[in-house]
Amino acid sequence: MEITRRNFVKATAVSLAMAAAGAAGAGALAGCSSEKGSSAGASKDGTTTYTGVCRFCGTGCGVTVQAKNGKIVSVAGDPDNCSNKGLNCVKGYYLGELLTGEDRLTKPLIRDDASTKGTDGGLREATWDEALDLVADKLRTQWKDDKSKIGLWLSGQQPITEGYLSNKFWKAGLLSNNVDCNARQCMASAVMGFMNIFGTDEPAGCYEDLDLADTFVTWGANMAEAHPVLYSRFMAHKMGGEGVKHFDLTTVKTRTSANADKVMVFRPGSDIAIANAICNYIIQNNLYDQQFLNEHIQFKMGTENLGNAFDDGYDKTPAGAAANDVTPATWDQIVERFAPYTLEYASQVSGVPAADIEALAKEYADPNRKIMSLWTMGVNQHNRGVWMNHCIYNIHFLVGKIAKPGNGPFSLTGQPSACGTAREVGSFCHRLPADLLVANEQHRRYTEAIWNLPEGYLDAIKAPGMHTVKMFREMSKGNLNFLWSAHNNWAVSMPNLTRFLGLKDEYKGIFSCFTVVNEVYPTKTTQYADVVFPVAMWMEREGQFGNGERHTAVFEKACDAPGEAWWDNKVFLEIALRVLDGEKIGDEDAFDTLFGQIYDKNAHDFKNDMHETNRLLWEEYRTFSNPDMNDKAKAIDANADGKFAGPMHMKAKQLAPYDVYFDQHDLTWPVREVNGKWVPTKWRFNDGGSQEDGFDKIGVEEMGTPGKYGDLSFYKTPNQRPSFVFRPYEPPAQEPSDEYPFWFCTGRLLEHWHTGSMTMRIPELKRAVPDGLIYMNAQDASKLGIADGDRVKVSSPYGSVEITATTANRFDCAPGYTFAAFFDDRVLINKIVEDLYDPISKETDFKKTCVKIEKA
Amino acid sequence: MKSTNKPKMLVAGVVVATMAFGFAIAGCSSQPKSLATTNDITYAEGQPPLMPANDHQGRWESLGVKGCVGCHGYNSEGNPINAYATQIPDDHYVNGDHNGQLTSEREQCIQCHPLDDPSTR
Repeated sequence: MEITRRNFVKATAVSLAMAAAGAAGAGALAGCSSEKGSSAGASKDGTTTYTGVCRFCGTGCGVTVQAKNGKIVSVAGDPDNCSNKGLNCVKGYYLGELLTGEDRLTKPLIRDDASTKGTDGGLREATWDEALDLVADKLRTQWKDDKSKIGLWLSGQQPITEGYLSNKFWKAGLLSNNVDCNARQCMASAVMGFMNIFGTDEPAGCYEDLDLADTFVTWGANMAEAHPVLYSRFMAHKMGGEGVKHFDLTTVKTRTSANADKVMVFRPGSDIAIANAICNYIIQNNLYDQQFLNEHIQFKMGTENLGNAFDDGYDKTPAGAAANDVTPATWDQIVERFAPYTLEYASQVSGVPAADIEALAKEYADPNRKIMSLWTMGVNQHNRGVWMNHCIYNIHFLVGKIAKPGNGPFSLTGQPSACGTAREVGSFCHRLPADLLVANEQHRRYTEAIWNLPEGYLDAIKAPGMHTVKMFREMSKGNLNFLWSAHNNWAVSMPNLTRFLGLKDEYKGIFSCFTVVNEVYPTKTTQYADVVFPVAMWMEREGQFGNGERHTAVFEKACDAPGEAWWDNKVFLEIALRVLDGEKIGDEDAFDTLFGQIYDKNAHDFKNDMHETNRLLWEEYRTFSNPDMNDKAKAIDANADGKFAGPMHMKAKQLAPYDVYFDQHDLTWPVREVNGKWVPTKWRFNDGGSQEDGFDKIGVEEMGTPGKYGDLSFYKTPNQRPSFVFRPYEPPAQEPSDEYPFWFCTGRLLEHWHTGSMTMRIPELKRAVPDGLIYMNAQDASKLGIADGDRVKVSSPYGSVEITATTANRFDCAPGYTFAAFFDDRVLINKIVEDLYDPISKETDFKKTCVKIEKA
Repeated sequence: MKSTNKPKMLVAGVVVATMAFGFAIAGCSSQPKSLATTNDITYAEGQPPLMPANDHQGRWESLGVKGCVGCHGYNSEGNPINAYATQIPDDHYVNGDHNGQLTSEREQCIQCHPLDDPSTR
């Protein structure tokens, strides 16, 4: 037997788990002989090994889970998973404990008196029938009366089939687009960037680029805390590679800055000026790749002077309504617009030395260096988030470094299935599955074909619904009467909670909006719920996540949910069954048309077991990316009757049959069948190698133009030319003032996941970071008479909170800058965070609120 | 250009290549029986112990991985070097061989072993 590192790590992982379960010897042998895709199965002592995926960040780490007597006893990294190769971070190793908090929700809860909202009390236990009937009655009544006042808020932490099913219910069953998700607050700017530029959502590269690049540039990304395993991967390459460099562009020095060769601390919002100066430098010094631009790129300009979305009516202002408009431009026009962005100008705006910006520009332009740009919330949660996404792509386009091994811009995703569930499934108010848009007639016809709906049925939802901030703003004003959320904790994660939690007299809508929450633990959000549905979490059911590299992985059911907690899909189907009772689609029963293939409405149960139910849902969902599976869809995809602008190229996102993922653990789409085997695509649009080696050979041959410059063919863009859009620097929505002199930025820490509702229940993680802290510059603190550990009052135009201040250097803040994570619901830091959003993506800028700080 | 900040992870001077196979088997079946204990807290096997804060505050920030292997790693004097330190598990080394080099992906020790005392931040 060949001993490889993978074998060793896997053997060790299984061995550890078996040891924990009291069967070290047997486990070790099973682990030593286990090969990729072969589950160890049950051992003699009843311990069983399952394939899983971490349920925290967007890295999508595969894990090996051992369960015994209905409980998870061990979690280890899965060396067979291509995304993490056996590594975990501390959250991943303690995953098993998140299931066993003492206060798991095990029975449905009902609130009879809405005046008790916002308190610890007021919820009573109920039967499932009572809770389901109540919710269904409220939803159906409001739906019949005025469906513009219902809303569904989903999550990038739902498995794919759950997101798919709930979207189908809301959009096709209720004909409502008032469905959005927390990925709006996380990845929407990246999404709009992808769609505007490439006509397809998700990056062209993959995590393997982390092993291949010569230079890494992090733009507003604290990977060491927010994507720790990916940070370890690229740091391993940096430490072991010859001359590998890292430039870190950030507003606050972080752990990610610690090992960087150059840290460029810039003034908030000035990243666009820096990026444009890099472009200008490359242009002025003739360092661009002329042939790449000639063969592959189209130039555009967009609406400018957008203002900011402070007011509820912003979207309908001239600037707001035209925010996403673009017009063609010439190269000369583009050059002229970049010309003012000299190194000196960018330095003046950003505070970054001109020499550092020049050094980075040279790094991008060096034809002998492969370069990878990595970004996350610093770029996306930005009042010009889509613009900044464009700016990064512009740099890569100029030098022709994209979609090649070790070369390319790479947007890091925040949540475990923000890509798979929110984006690929279409949990947005303007989207349908697989990147399709409600506003596009061809897309609606295609969706109708797969969902077996009459032609024209989805025309009722051709107008986008309410995006996230709009939904909560309307709710706060009493204009939303029914809100259902699942797998998120919006009462902690949303911005401007002072308004949304009804803490201002003019915004009391939360108290009159009938609120339903699918949850696993009591949270701040359940304190505002009228009904709480207890549901299964993580590996208490089978599911699928799609991570940041177009990578789909499955997780098996390893144990039962506690008490009376249900699988979310059963909750949604039981509500659908009640709300759609007697409704027709065409001449057919509405519920049976939509869900009859999986659910027996008379038996109130699934027709098959959980795996088969998931498989059936997956096979329907993957028809969107496999049009050959449905003749009607196939004809629409090909634009066979010439009715539409052209072919849709839906195979660009091709997914494999469900069981393939159980054989191979994980696959990066588009997944292509080659000689009977399904193989992933690592570098999309690139046919410079074989499909088996991860290149997009089949995609380019079938939908693109082989033989183009650089072996690239961007076949999802209508004219096969991605858009290079000039975007100017426009200042942040707020600037520090005498009244609010500090910049305040919020984000994540390594030890806690988002709002802390899970990780604060894991004793080791809570012990590591038990309290939310605001990080300050030591000189600033001293001037205010604040010592490390003092309680302070932090106020913004939106509200105020009390929190403990620290000058520790985990976040090394320059004078005038502060940072706090948002996991601590006792602090509720988002009470002070602005709720204005990017005009195109509608994603909130969580990074640039201005605050004042006083000793409490 | 050669990277200048590559840490010296080779904490043992001799690699016994002929032992690799045997050690791998050992790795499957002879993991440490004793559970890690820090600050009087016992961790289940497979769960990374947190750093005790009383004497670890600021070490990661100032020393990085070198500060960890300097006590918890292996050399000719012992494994771990500091007899009072918790031993780095063998699966953290290339091919599970503690005579060799720490696996480069595991050099960000803080990502699995944060401090456990709030008073230290």
